Amino acid sequence: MSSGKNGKARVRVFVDYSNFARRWESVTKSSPHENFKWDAFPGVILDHLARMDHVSAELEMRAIKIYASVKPFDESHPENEEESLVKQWLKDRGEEGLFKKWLQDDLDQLPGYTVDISMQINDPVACSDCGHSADHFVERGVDTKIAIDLLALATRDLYDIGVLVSEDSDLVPSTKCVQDVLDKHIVHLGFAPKKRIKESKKDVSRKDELRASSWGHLLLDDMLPALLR
Amino acid sequence: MDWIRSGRARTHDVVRVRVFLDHWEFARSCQKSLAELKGRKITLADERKAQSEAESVRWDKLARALMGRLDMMEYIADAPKEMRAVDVYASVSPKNDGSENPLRTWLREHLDRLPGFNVHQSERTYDPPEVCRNPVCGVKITPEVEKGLKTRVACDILSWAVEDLYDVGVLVMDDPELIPSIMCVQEVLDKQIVHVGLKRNGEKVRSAAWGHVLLEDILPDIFPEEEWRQLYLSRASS
Repeated sequence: MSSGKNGKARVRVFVDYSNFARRWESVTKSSPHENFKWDAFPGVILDHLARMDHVSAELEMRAIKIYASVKPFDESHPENEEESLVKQWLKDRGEEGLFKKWLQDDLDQLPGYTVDISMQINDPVACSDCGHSADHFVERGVDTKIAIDLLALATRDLYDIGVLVSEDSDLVPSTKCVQDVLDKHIVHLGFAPKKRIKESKKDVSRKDELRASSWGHLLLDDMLPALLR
Repeated sequence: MDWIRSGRARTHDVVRVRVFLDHWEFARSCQKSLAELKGRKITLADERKAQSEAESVRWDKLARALMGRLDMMEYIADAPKEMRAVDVYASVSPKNDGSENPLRTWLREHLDRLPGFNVHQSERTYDPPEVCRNPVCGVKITPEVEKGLKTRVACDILSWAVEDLYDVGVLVMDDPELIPSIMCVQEVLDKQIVHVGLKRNGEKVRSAAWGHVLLEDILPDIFPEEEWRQLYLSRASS
């Protein structure tokens, strides 16, 4: 394994926040901005990596990048709207505003952490029954940003081990590329796969694709005692 | 060779061109252009048929039409060029009623077999249902979304540049998601990206790209019907 100037293997962590939060919440029944020990996270990762086969014991954490997205919240108060719509506006603004504030003022301030916030986009879907539409908020560009950072940072030789916290199979091509072309190691970090009753085999294998294509993997289940607040 | 950088001229004899095309977006742009010429409005039902309608485009002429435009671009006009590949990223509807089978077959057995064409087919997925805004209707609508296509394109643009497999990348898609990869291949890997799109779409990508070609200028060369071609050219000149 190649390494940095001081002979230590350089580690960078890439976290797809919404993907991770969904899974964390389903396991711990609370969102990671409430019960996750973010300050302990880098140390726990290094600790588990050092115990992996073929990984140098000399490791150095370079950065943890969090890719998050928030719904656009309108600062202007809706006028002449029904009471229910105003209530919804206040609720949305409150939740998304607080979440964005936590990302910027708390998480981003921790040593080594960088938070990249994207705004979700409303891509309304047309109703074929009445011609009206329904709001449909989508994350735009989060996966692409992770894929590009994985590749661009590897191209500039800025890490040796990339720890990827996501279950999104969209990241498989970039994972394979940094491993096969740029000779870096990607370690997948996530919960052990759990087949739900309604889930097809195809869905399960798709979720597991990223873990399978990564050079190695770590289980969040093993880290739970050290990371749960 | 009269080329932008003398260093590159020594490395390669020709400028290697690679095209990255989003089939769904391209089909809708063609449909929109044709509808404007005809003076008709596009309905939701029309939009769903855009990809099948695009089967009638002269795909075999596309590479030549693009190369013709690159030959007119400042700085690279005089450099000898070679088309390496046209990568078509096509997402198809996940409906399993068989209605999408002809399109899937056409992509696989016709388009992919044209010289230089590689078709990367993927299935769109369904997002969780949303409720119609109209309180009287209240129907649940299931949005159909492309899954992983843009990430795949971004990865290919970057990884093939890392492997030095092209010099000029022609990007036929308007999604601003691709801007980070465009900036990276241009600034870090010293490649040129040329954006191709309709005049009123894709301003952000056009600004980020090194150069651009308007799709309107290429459409007459790839429109199938002579009548439409003439109509298009006469409208464009007026």
